[in-house]
Amino acid sequence: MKIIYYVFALAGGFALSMEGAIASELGKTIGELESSYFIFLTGTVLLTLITLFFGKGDLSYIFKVPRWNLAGGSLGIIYLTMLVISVPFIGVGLSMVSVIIGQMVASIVIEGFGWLGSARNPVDRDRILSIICMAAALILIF
Amino acid sequence: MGLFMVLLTLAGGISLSAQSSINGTFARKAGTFETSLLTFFTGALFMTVVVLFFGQGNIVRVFEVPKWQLFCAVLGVSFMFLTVFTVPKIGVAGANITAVTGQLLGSMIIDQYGLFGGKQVPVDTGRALGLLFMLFALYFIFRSQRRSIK
Repeated sequence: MKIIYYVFALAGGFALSMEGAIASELGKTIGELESSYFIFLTGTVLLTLITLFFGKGDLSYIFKVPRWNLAGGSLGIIYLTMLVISVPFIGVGLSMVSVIIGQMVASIVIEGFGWLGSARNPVDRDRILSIICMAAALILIF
Repeated sequence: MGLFMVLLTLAGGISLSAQSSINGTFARKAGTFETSLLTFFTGALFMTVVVLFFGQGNIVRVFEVPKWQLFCAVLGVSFMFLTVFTVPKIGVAGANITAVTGQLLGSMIIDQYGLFGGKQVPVDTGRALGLLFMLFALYFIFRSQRRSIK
């Protein structure tokens, strides 16, 4: 049943909110960029161990796939940098609202056209309604 | 200036979606743990350069903070892993919108009790209504996704 994957994705978002809260606390002592750096370094160490012991895939695909398939990490850094720059200017609230709206609209467009190797799912009424509801939710919350 | 900053954060959000699509594509070949590892590894390389040039704090003080604060790295890994894991199953939009819902829900709970040393912000009418709209958003994306599978 597919619903379990929605539960996993929800849990992922939960983890992200806790990560943000704790990282900002950590940032007060070591600095904001440094706290992201700490997360990436420690995360790399943990994932190296996990992959060594439990990895069932094949890392050698790094050298076989088209190079754009490897861009995930760099894009994460772009996201982080944009946020660090904008928050002092426009505040956390507006930054979060526009980041999330950008993220949702882009995900529907990417999937709508099947870009970046994703499975194609055309934009339909439900998807647009979903974004409108999410935008309303964001404005109400922040 | 304000508008430019909004466009900048929009671009940030777009790059996050692009990241989950690209990672989903790579994961189908290389595996979920492997893709998460690659993402963190390249991220760490970039952050090394960024911190070297722009860092104003002191990374070494990480040894002085209360240990529970270090747990954020585990949470970061969990988020990455769960995203890479769910995108190939429920699509980029489904995974992203669901994760955002989880993120906002989590933030509200953290604020409500002022957890992890943050400021306490109780749930008010606006937030409660926001929660309701998030559930609608989730319902619509779920319905669309289910229809597209049939």
